[in-house]
Amino acid sequence: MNVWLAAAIALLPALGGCAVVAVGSGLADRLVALELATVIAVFALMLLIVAFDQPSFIDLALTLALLSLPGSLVYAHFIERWL
Amino acid sequence: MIALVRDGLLLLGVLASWLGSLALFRLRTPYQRIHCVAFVTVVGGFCFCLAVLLTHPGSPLGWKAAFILVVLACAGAVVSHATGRALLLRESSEEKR
Repeated sequence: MNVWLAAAIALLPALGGCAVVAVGSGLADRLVALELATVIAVFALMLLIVAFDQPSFIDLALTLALLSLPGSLVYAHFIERWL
Repeated sequence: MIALVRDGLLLLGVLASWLGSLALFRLRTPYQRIHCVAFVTVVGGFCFCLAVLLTHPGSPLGWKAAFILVVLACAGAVVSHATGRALLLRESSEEKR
């Protein structure tokens, strides 16, 4: 196991913490937990890509980072108006 | 030497992520919790991105990792603002009812 893989695995408890807050809190806290989980997931993907030496898969992390913006904005808009 | 700095940066990034996740439990209101996301994005992203750039200097992987950091920082600011505004408007509309 190299350090990149160890760092990616070490991010899992932080991701689990976000999941616990997302399941057990109110509507607004769930959105914040989702945002934090997305950021940590992007980091974990980036570390896994370096760990397994697959540089072309960095586009996957980039796509997740780019798509998290409209997703969170739509969620915030729904919280403001309809939920 | 570079390997030592890389390991230190990875450790710092993981610690920042843990700290942000713990702060999500510790802080009470959603307005306070928004700050955890910004902290993890900036500190964790900077450490991980620098570690990738040190390991793969000048490669597309390093530049794309830097671009991911820029995207996350810019998007995080916009999303934090939109979230805070949405929560404020929601609370004010609930008070009017």
